[in-house]
Amino acid sequence: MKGLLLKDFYTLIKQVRFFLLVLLFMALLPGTSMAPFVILYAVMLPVSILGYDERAKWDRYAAMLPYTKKSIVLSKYIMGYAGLILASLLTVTAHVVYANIKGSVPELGYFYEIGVLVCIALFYLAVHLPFMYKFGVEKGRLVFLALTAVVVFGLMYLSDKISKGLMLDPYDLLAYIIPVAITANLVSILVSIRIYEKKEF
Amino acid sequence: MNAIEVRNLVKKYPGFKLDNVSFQLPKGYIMGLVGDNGAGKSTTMKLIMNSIKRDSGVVKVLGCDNTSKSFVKVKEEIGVVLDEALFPEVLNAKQVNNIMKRTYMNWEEDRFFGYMDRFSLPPDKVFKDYSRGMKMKLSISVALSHKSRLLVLDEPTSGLDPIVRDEILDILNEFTRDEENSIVISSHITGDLEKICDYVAFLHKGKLVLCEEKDTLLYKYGIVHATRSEFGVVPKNAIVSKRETPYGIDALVFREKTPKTVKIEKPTIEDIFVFMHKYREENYK
Amino acid sequence: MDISISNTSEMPIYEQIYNQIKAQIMQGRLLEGEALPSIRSLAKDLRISVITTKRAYDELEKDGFIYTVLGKGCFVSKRNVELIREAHLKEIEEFMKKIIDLASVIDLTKEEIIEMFNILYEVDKE
Repeated sequence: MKGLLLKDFYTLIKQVRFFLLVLLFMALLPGTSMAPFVILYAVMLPVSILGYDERAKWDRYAAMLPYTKKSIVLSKYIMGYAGLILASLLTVTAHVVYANIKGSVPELGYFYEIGVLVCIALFYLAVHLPFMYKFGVEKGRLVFLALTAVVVFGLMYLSDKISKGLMLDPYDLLAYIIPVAITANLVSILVSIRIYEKKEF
Repeated sequence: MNAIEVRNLVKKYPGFKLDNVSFQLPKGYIMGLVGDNGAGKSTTMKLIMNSIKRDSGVVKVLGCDNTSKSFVKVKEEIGVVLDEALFPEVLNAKQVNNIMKRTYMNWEEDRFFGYMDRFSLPPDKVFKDYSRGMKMKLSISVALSHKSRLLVLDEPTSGLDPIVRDEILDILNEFTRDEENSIVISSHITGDLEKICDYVAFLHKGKLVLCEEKDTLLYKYGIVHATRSEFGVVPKNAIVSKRETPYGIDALVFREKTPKTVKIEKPTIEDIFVFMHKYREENYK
Repeated sequence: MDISISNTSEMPIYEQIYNQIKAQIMQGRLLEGEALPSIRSLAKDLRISVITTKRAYDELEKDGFIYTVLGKGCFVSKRNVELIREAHLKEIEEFMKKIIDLASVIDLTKEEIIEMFNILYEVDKE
């Protein structure tokens, strides 16, 4: 597994280096909230690795190495989680530093917001990866986009009713969506492994 | 003890079927898989590694059923070279070394860089800038650097120039100097297989046409170039297949069944393969 | 030990090895008790199949030219070298007797036979 993670890390390192520069730049711009951007980017990392893998027919090669299919799939999730942790730490740190410079106290609400964002990102990862494994990166992305569109339109249609029915502050919201995000990921991992084990390269 | 044992192996795809293939490769020997495109060579290789699931049959590799859980451990001792499948293009060989150090328990770093040197591969260059031949050489270096007992090589010499091909054949030949070490190798270049194999297996349209000791095979068959009248004395059951031209007949014959008066030349694996292929094609019509 | 394999020869490779090693034993170029290269290293050095080499060694052993010590390798046998030399000499004698018989039928002289032999021998050597 270590070898797999290292391979994924090497695959990303150049891309991430560029991304860190952009991040630094954005952090320096006052008033911009880069959190959603950073966190969504982080959660896209496993998909971007899958793109590289696909081009090199890596999976065919990986199947020859002393790895179980389970660990091959799991390593992608771990990369996603590692990216998320790193990204959220980064944004939180930036926020604290920025607040210090301004001489103000960091807002508690900001941390809740990050929490909610991370959960959404986790949920996104959980839904996204099985599609990637099932349909491949290109097709998977399309299928996923189509699905997202349906969900978004559905939510827009329902949003009026929801916002009237549920007036939640971020703290309460977090209490709801953390278990949802975790469950979604557990299910997603199982589904992905199942798909990957059936797949032939 | 067999390095590879394949019994009644079946794998169906739409439009293709690997049909009831059986063979075994004793430990310490080299087996060459010969076949045209789509004959089932790569499918067989994948089934040996269980990277695709078989429909039925038995495959044992280094004594272990390759669908069993313990096969992951066995893979430690198998070096694989695949045609056109490798690491992502943004990686370089140094990174591959680091990855493999954490992948194979018996990874031999010095040996790996030794091969890199021998093949004059640049360790810092990303694979995007490697030629096809270089990627192949890298892949072979990896396969040979973790104390493998078995090499599974799918077209490892394709895209390489003759000198490098010969060097690789030498390395493979050396590898089996240890009688614990075995190789199964497929190639379009039958001359390469002829140089190093102990056994040769012919696949055609998913069927194993024959699997035999190379030298027995080369002695069992012969090539006859003769005029029509000269060819008349060759009995029908001696002829495997023939090609008629306006000037005479070329044929693949069984040496034993052909009269001593007919001049028989020693065939190459390619001769046998091409003639048999033709024969089977005719039978299908 | 010298062995040269011809790929164009009609003779199967194992027979080529068999003949060449046998000849070297008979000629005393391989001495009794001398170790032969292992099957595997001979095969790998000559770039021929292990099976072929094994068959050549098997035949040599069957005919008593060499013997195998388990785990140590193959060695040139002792007694049989002389025995086989004897046998060959006897066979040559038989042929010679036949020549004499046949020659007398057509009144061929001893000198004529020897001359014939010399010519044939030279041709064969070339």
